[in-house]
Amino acid sequence: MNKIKNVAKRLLGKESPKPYVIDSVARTSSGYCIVGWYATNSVKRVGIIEQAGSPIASDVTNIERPDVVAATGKAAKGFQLVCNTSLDISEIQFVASCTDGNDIKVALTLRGEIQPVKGIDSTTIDFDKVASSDTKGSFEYALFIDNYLYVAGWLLDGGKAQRLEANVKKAKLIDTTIIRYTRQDVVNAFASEKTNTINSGLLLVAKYDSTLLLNSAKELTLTFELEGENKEISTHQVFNAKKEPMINAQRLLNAWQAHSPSQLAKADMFIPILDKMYSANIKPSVRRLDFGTAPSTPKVSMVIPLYGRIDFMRYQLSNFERFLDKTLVEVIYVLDDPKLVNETTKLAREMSQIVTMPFSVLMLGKNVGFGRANNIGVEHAKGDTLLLLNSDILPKTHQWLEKLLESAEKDDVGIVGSRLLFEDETLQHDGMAPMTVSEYPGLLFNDHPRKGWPLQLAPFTENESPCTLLTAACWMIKKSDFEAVGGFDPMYILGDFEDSDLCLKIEEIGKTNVIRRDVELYHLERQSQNLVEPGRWKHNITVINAIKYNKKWKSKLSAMEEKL
Amino acid sequence: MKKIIFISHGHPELSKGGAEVASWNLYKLLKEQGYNCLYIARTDGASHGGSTFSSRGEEVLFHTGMSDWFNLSTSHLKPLFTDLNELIAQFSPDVVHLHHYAHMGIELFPAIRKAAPKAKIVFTLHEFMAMCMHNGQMVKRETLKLCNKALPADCHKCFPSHSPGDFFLRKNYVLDQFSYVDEFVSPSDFLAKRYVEWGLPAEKVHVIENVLPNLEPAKPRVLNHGEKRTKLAFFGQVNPYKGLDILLKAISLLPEEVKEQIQLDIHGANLDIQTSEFKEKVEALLDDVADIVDLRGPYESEQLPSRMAECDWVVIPSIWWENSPVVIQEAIHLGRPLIGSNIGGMKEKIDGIAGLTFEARSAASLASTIVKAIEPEVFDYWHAKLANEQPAIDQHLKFINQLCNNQEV
Repeated sequence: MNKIKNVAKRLLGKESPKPYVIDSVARTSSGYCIVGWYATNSVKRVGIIEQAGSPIASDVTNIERPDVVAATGKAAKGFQLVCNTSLDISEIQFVASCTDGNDIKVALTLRGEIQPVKGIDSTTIDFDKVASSDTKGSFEYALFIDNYLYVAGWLLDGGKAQRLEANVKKAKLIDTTIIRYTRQDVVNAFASEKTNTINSGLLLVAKYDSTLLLNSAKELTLTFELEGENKEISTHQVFNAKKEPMINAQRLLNAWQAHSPSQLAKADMFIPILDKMYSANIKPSVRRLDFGTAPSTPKVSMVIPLYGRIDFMRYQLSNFERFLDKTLVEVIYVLDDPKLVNETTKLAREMSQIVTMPFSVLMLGKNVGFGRANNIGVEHAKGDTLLLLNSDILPKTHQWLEKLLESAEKDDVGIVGSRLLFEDETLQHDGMAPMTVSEYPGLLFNDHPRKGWPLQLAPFTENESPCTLLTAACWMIKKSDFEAVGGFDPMYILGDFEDSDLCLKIEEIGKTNVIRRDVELYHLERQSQNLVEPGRWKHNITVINAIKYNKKWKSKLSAMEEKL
Repeated sequence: MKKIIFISHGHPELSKGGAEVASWNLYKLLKEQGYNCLYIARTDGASHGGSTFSSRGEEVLFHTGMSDWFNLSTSHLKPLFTDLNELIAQFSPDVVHLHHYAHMGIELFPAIRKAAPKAKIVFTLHEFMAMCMHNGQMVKRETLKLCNKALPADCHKCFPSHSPGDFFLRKNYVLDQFSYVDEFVSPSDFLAKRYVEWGLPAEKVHVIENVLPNLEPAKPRVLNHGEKRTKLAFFGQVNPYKGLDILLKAISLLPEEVKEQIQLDIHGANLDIQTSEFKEKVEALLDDVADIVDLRGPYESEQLPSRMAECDWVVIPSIWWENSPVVIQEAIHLGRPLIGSNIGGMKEKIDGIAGLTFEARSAASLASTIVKAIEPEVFDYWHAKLANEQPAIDQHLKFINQLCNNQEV
């Protein structure tokens, strides 16, 4: 109440006061939550914008604030603003749109509680749980899969603890890998105390001789030696990573700072756990639904994975209906998102009434990722030629399919890609090239040269040009070639690098990949990928995939980069 | 006898929007001309026994709804692809003349094509709904600034919860469904141009004005000695887009000696259902000019001639572009010159033809235009120019005749 009175004094004072107050700014698992109030006579509404000024979608709930009204004597509205964004707090601004037509923009800082590690279910810093009376620390959670265990937490030992070990009953510890790092939230929490908070953060992966079966956190103890004494600490929560791979991948990777060279060097510690979580050995169930009668011998089989946003199917089928020869193609959607089976069935039934284009949907019983979803789709394809397409692609050029086919049917040609455009007619894809990123020395990533360029600045002379690396957002390839190299390598997690990997495999069998620059399709890039929770974990998965990709293709990639 | 089906998103006796009235007038005209016409009007609410159709006089009421206002799409497909399909197939039309898809779904177009593969599908454009999610107004959502082009990135700024990519997809989906249309009709050149710039094929878009029932011209009001043309009238909905607030503000800005003579009649309704912000604004403005303004309330179409005859000038101060407002054609036929905003359909239909225009959204500009307009010689000049003719009737008849006989239009 005092706070409100102070604010009221400021508001009613002679200085021109701010017509709004922000009470708290907190991080949520996928963005921010901002709570406050504003004077309705001067502020129309509030929102969040990016630095460049464009608004970020947010949910604003208005809350009655009789307390503010009573204290200020002015009409006021409370608000709770929730937004989903992966941007850092320093990259966003709060904006109050005023009734006088002006916008007040302010930078935000996190206020209120100590911010936890960005891990789902991780608790805020809780220093009641101490290792012993003189050493503070907390192990927030552990997760296990088969014979591997991961633990995240912190310890105020100045990074000096020795022989840190995670002990479980019935399994013998074989190997332990540890990352120690400085955790900013711990530093903040103990800022007023004379405690050494350097290297308090701790990530640990342990390997055992046999499969773990932990039913509760009590079955796990962490032991260490500090200043000659043996100490012990317990964990709050333990998760079985066999279930819910997405959430557990976040738990596993949200704390890892891959951009730090010492932490990057230990990337291998996460790989066996991730590989077990996203095991390629488990075959998902496949249920096939056919709508209309597809041609019995289609020339081209289109395979289109669906994930997250299934509404793309509406726009694509509508477009195919209008522009494609129905006797030429078979359309196979692969739903790689089991929770959307009902919704997809409903939309597919609706679309089968609206369009006459026959199509099929394969419903996978399990989310398997982009590469494997395509591999499964290809198993169902009847045509000799495949067209792999992302769901957020919409063709622009007439005769696009025929032109791609003209190149794909040449014996020496492997993969045929096309130009892809953003919705504002700028380039999204014009072939890919390996590139280095300063944060990750030694690793080559896929670059999209000329991305965002207006077309008039990217003229071309040849309709068809050799191009080794092409995005799988739109690919045409002979089915026999795709099968000869074993399809997409399932070792990449959640869709990264498997396209460039397959491009390199195809060139290894002596074929040449080409891009058709006279074929244009729109690609609303990352519309579907963005549906997975953004954040550090997703970025870290990309880094892990990059490590795998670079190991496999080291010499070939270096040679390509040198040529560039 | 050639057969024509009209489809409208509302029955004009139940809902008085421009599209409903325009389709109704054309339906009446073609019936008189001996065409076998069926009028299908979409309606709210459940029907007897849950049937998709019921009737109102000779007209068929079509009970259905729209579920996705972003894509202008419906998931109620049985009413479209089964029920309407059978009804249309039974009637076997030569032409299907659509006046809207709202409340039924944009899938109405493929549904009709399936039901009547050989019929000509004509669609009359009435506003910008297909390109502008902001109620088809082409006016920015928060600032109400005029919008010149529906670019996905700009639409996203009006509706941040939909990405630019979503708006791109929406547009393509709508254009896909429009591809079933054989010919488009636009009552104004302005609207036609906007739609062609947006993506409709120019060769398919024809500008033909709406038709009206015949109206007898009303003699100009008899002036007392020394009296000026000071009786103004506003016809239409009272909502933020129609600009009544601009008109009221303009009245309050008039020089005292002019203001003393001015009288303004407001024929229209719906102030009560507007947002409180707009309502308060209009009420405050009304208070300022209370002794000048008479709120006459809503009117039925048969009351229009007598009400309009009472005034000298009809004012149309809309802040959005408008297409071809029926009230402009009505005023022209009744012999009442207009004062209108100098944008879009108003500029096209008034400038140099039927009266004076002013700088849209400027109360000061409207005030100085009113000062000019009250001079009897200005009124006489424009009054003499107004023609009680409807070239649109012949144009529509020729157009329909060509369609029915499979001739090029």
